[in-house]
Amino acid sequence: MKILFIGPMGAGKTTAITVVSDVPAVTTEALNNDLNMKAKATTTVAMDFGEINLGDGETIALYGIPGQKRFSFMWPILVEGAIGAILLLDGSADDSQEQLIIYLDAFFELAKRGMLVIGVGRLPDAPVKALEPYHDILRQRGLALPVLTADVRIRQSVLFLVESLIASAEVSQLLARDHL
Amino acid sequence: MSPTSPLRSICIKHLKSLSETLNGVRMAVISSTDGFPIAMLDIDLATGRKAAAMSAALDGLCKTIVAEFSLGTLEGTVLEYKEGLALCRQVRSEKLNLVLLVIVDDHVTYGHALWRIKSVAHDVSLSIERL
Repeated sequence: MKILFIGPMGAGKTTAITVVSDVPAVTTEALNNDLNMKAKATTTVAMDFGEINLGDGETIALYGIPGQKRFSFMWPILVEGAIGAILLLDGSADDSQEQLIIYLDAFFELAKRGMLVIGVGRLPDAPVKALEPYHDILRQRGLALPVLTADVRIRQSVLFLVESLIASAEVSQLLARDHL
Repeated sequence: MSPTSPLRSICIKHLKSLSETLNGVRMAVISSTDGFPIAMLDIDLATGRKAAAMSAALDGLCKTIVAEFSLGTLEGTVLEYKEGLALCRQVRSEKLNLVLLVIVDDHVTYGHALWRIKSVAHDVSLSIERL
């Protein structure tokens, strides 16, 4: 099973994969020269990779995309074979709602099938209220996707996003079977 | 980056020298390791931007492969296509690291292309050190 972590630069994709992976995460970090975009030392230029072991020999492969638009040629390569994606957003960023729209458009096939879970981090004290604008955007687009608060530094928080996506996948499978 | 920046001027000078001493250069780009173009040869800006991002991604992925399998230090990557070669070379210096991507057609011999591109990467490194 393959799950993709998507979202803009600095949303925490590499951290999330590193925190949740049962094997040392593979990353492709380069020195970040675009400090206006995000003040952080390094940035992903190709992909991240990690694994969650489910205990019965089954594993979930975790792939992270490079978030900048200039690396968008990597996105269709990495989405190949993924059951779904976890979209991470930085709730403190001014453009986080714009970013939601950008990623909904870029990964429309997954969003349309309900195989997208949205995790919003760095939110103010009243996170439930803070999530409303994201729900509004989804409603305007006729999408019903889980929008959850997330702290990508905490393994349980990332695992919760992964579990939500897997639950969505199972529901989709059941619905598809009922239609047969 | 400013069109008149010293780094850009150095890189352009070396790319021109490459095209003068190596037949069949279709295009060349020097970029930052996070995918911004520094200098380009025989390529429009939009394609150059794309090439810079792709060479940085290729470089990043290859560096990770080398590190994961304890292969030492990455020097470069060679892609063979039907009518030529795409060579991605590390430009390392104390001050900053860059990536050189050169695409050559089949008018060039493999060994000569590798040698020239390695030399140019080395020359760019030396020039950066002197900045």
